[in-house]
Amino acid sequence: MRDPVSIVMLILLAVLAYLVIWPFFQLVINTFTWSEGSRRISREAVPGQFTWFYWLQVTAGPISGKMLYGPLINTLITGIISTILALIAGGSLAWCIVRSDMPGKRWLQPILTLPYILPSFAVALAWETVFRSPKVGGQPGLYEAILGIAPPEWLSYGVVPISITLAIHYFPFAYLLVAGALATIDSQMEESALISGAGKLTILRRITFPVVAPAFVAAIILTFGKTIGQFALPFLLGAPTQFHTVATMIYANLALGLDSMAYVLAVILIAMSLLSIWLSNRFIKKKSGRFETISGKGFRSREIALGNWRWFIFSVVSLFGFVVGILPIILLGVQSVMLIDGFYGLENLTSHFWIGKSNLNIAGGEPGVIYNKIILGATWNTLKLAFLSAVFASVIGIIIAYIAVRRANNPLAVLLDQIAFIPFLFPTIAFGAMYLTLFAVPVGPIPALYGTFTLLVLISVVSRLPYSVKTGITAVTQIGQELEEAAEVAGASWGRRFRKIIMPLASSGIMSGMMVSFVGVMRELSLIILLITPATRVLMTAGFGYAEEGLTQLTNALVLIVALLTISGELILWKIGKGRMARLREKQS
Amino acid sequence: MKQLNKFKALTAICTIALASASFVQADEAWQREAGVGKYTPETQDWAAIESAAREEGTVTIYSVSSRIAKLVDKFKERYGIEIIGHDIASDLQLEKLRRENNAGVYTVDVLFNSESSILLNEALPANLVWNFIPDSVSDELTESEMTPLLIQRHSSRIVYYNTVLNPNGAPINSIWDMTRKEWSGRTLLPSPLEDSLSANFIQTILANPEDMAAAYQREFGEPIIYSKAVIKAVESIATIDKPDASMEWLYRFLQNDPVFQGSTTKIFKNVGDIAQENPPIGITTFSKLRKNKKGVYAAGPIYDLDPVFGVTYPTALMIADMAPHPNAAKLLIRYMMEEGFSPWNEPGDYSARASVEANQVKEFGLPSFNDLSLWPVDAEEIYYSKFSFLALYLALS
Repeated sequence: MRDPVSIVMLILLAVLAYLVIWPFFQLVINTFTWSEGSRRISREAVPGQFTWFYWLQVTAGPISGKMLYGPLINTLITGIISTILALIAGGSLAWCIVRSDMPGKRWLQPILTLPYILPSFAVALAWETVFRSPKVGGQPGLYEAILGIAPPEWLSYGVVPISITLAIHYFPFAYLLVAGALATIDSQMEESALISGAGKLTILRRITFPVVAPAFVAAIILTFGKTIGQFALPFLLGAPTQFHTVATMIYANLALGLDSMAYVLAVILIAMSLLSIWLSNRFIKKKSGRFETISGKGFRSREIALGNWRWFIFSVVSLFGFVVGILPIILLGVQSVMLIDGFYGLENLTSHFWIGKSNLNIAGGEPGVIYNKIILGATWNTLKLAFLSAVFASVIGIIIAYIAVRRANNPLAVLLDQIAFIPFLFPTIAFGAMYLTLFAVPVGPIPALYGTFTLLVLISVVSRLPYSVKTGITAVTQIGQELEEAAEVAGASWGRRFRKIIMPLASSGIMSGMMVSFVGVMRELSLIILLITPATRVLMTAGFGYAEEGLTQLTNALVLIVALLTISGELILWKIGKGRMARLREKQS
Repeated sequence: MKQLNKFKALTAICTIALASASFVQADEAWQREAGVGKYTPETQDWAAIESAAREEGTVTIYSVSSRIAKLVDKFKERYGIEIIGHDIASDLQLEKLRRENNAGVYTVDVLFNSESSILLNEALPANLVWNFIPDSVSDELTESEMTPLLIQRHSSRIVYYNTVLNPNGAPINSIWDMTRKEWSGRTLLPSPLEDSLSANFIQTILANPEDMAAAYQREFGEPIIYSKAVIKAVESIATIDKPDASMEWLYRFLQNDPVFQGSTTKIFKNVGDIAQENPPIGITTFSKLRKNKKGVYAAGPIYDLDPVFGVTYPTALMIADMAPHPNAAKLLIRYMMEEGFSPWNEPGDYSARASVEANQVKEFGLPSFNDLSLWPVDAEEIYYSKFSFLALYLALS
């Protein structure tokens, strides 16, 4: 028991039990207990008493079809279609960027992660701008304006637009994960295959694909899990025609104050995700051991020549990047300089919302961005929060990943991995509410964190763990055990081995995980809205306030600031990561 | 299950033991100190309140409207007291307050909240909030604007049409017109499953079936016959006994492809945009009237809609239980009823104070609040029929 890994594992288990399992336990208890608000449901309800009512209503009552089963089918359909689309797009783009000699990679690389940077509702709004159906009134959409006919209903609302926009929003997951895995492929493996007489397709099928398989699996879980939990997109593009998913149903129940019903649906969603992570863990355990690609021998990565296809593929990728990454930002930018929103015309342009001082005739006297104290304070808070959370989440994530991969036979390690994934499918607003109670008063050695910035960091880190652990597993799986064994023989302690071998070799995976967390925390709203105080205000909560007041331009400006900050943050992380990788390669050769 | 029960019992014992001992006494002491509930003094000594409030220095408010930020500077200038304004939705305010109170964390002083169903049926009976009426405005308020809680203003959800593209007046005159074929896919509203005020609108219609039946008779000249789907839905839901005209309206309305949109501002603009051919009608917030702009947006209320112009709901001001700054809370509440009302002085929102409302009627050229045929939300009805409503809504959609 003096093994440091086991000690770390036990400590992490205890911490996560308090931060994840305990709130989850409360959530489940809630679904079996009449609550304060239950008299909304039945006048006989006694708060605190046990009841089967919610579960019966949701799974077997007369409304179960509309409440659970119909939405469940919609959730599965959109989840599966969008996951497939996202994997195809992310996977092939990752291959083009990392393994081929396609030109312009340096520019395309950051552009391809842009769709994830924008809040998901921005993609939905952009879709609506183009495919808006005339029946919602107002100005016609671009499609109708250009083609002269209204778009068909299935293109405006429902399965098709939801699946496509979800795929656009989440394919960067697959792209980053697969790119991280592809970067570790040793060209010597491919060359050996070539010498043995394998064709290009065979190499792709027999070498490249199996090596990136764990990354694909991680991408499938993250994308599928995230799409089934996503609320904004299905709501904006589904609700106009009464198309519901489980997530929009959760939201509907919360909006009506029927919280316990919402929690039942949430528990069902969490169960679905646990099932998928269990399946994937089995898969990774069975397959991945065979593909340690970073070994103790030399490492070389060489690009594959595309030949005549080079420029064609470049054009396709660039066009794709432009449409999904740049165009929505342009649309947002244009809308932030319009005096009257939605009204195109040169005379309607204004810089007021960016550099204007308070003017009572515009936006109720709200000053432009650079004079706006609220926005400036929120910007600083946002940066602090996103940076700290991303760093903590990735470091803890890689440690958990290491334990999960290296101790895969230990049931406690498997448990740790699974616990770390649970926050993923908490309805975020419920998660926030639980933390409000959990840290309102001191418990043992834990001080009261109510209203502090620390609490925001804590919940953000926990909510990002599912991502950082998944990216960590992808990275650690590929590091051969022999490297560590050699160091161990040479007398290096576990801490030293972890710092000097695992961390540097997994750094590209950690970096992409950090980027994903950095972006995710920046865009988070409902998770922290209950925990925020005016002193800890962040950009999204400020933007939410403006949206409520109908100040579309300022909201768009804020979304744009979030996007710009994220892009710069990402570039910095990417630069650091690139530098480290380069140094590493130098050392190896 | 045994273990669960044990756990529950244990928690219950702990809670009771802790609560009954110290908590109740502390709360009692606070009530006396703050002068609320049964300790409300006969007269209000504003000089004493003001000096005590200056001593307290800050006041924290959970506000349903972000416009609270506009009061910060002026209030500080006048009283030297800092307003800490949290912009939180009505239902979340009460969730937050309840959890904080249970944990013994007391930070908030004032609530500015429009979710009357939870306020009156949960928060007030549980003594989570306390009513306070500044005597300076009490003679301008009706009884229902002072009890059970102080009302600051009345907002409404109403039906808008495009005035420029319908020069001869509103294209519909009855709420039953929305169920006609020519209005298929042409009524905009926030989804009742996302927006609790939209749910309140529909629930209030459901609470007035007789008026809806009479309006049906006037519109179609015959008594109403219920659809099979409505009868079937009623049979499947234990909490509903018999079909009525409101349910029939809801069924026909939902079958007529209403278009749900998230933003009330957007609904107003999509109705009012003059650069379209076939404008829809929209159910949205009355006070969006200020967004009209010559040559761009022209939307007007359908005042004489049969049987009702719209649904009105109050926004209330109150003191939070165990508020750490009770005097500053009182001062802020009075201020928001007086000159601090200005951020909410808008056409379509009516001040509860008679004199302010008279000025609003003059300034905006609108009918007075009492002349509008509005159904007020029934806090109790809305609260207790929430689940029946969801079941019915899902069954009929």
